Amino acid sequence: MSDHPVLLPTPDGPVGANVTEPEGHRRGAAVILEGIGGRRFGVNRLWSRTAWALSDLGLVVLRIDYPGSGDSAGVRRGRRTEEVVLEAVRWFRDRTRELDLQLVGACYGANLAARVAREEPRLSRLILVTPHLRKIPSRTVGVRVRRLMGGALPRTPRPALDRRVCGAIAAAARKAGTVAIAGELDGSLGDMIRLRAMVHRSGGELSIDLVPKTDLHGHRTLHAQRETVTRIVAEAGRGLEEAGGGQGEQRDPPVHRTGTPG
Amino acid sequence: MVGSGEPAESHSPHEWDAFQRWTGNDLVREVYYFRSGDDRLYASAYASPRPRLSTGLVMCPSWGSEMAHLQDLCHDVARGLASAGGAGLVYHPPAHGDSTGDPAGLTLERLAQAAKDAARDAGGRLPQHRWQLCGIRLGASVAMVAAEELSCELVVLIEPALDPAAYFEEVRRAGRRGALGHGTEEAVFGFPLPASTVASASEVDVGGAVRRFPGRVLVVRAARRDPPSMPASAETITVPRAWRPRPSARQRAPFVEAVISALAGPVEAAR
Repeated sequence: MSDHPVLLPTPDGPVGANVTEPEGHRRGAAVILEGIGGRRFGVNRLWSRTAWALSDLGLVVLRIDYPGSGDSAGVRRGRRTEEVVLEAVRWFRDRTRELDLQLVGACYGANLAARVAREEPRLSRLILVTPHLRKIPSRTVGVRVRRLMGGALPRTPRPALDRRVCGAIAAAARKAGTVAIAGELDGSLGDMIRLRAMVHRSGGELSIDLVPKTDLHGHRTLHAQRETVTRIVAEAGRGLEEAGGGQGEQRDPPVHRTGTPG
Repeated sequence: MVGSGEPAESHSPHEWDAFQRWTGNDLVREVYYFRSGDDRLYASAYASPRPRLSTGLVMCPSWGSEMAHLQDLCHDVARGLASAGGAGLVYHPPAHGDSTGDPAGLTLERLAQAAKDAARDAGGRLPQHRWQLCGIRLGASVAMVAAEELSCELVVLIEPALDPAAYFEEVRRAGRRGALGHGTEEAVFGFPLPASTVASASEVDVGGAVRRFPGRVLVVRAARRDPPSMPASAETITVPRAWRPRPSARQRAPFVEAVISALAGPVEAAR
């Protein structure tokens, strides 16, 4: 495999990204979208290592620095991350359009992956890693006043589930195999179970790949990192097998527990 | 390690490589890999299309999670210097970011070697600039050790951690606190910190490197009640702001302005 750093030209400045090419024949394409505030390489190179492992399967993989960070630090402020990501993925797909696409979205990246999935005609897999499914808290005057008042006011209520994001994931799940990878100790596991019910009601299927006794979010332990890479690669492999035909029936049940115990 | 297979050595020119360079907004940028020992290290260069300042700064990042959290500060200084007519280079050290490398083999010496390789490679690509080093936090120690061999004339140190052994002890403590029972001894904020890396911190003489350095040492640090002592020969700029471990763009700006002003005059003149 080989890494190719790129600066994607946009009207607001260059967007930094890295494309990992497989050594031999290309079998598909993938985009990894990390959480907001993260880096395209991830904690302890989690996403770099994931890209390298996916390219071992034959996937050409794109990772992007979001506007305002890393190599995209020069992108004009005020541009919405979603617009920039869509622009970057379109640029990538212009060069990989003959390939099926797998999307990996971690935390807030799941939100972006769902948005990308909506306009992708050749989606073959949507892999969510501890997806953030709630609305992003706004920094409104109300929130600031609460902070200033400290304990005098009740806590800011937890944001509601983002129906737009859940709807987009449900739509993607009707087009392609969709899985959420989560740790048993992740605080957002309940949201994923609700999402699975929503997806099921809309006629799709979402499986939850649960890592026992582990908090995956934040990838603070080497165990969480290993499990994340292993499970993404396994899912991507299934995606390739299904795209190859004849093996789609081997999908996992909606919830399964595999892997090394914590 | 899962997915530990790393990118191959070199490759034939590829369609993606046409996008390694970008010119606009009075900047020339290039992203690429360079060789350092057995590793391929990622680099991102900023330069002015009309060089007016001979100084080029290689930004030596800190270690582990600090490398990621302070990466934007590296980019800001590099871009700011290029906008002022100079040049800047941000690289990812071995076993960090987009670079290859084994975290188990990471030592202070290896980090310093990577900084030297980055500076030499930058000198070959942008020979119109005289390449100096700028280190942030632990990167300051790396820069001081590397500067000796490179015959630099200037080293810039931002919020320097010039006692690597104390630095690793501090991050290990912070990691334990931050993990709140979820972490393990093997990793600090998700980064492996092997005993060999910690041991290597005691094997380098950073203080001696500072004392022996014949050129200009510029220290840029945050205001604090009990500032750590800095070498007497260093020129110190105190930024009237607190140091933030994950600074926002607004929190980074005064540190960037302090560096650029010291090297190129008022920042306003460079815009």
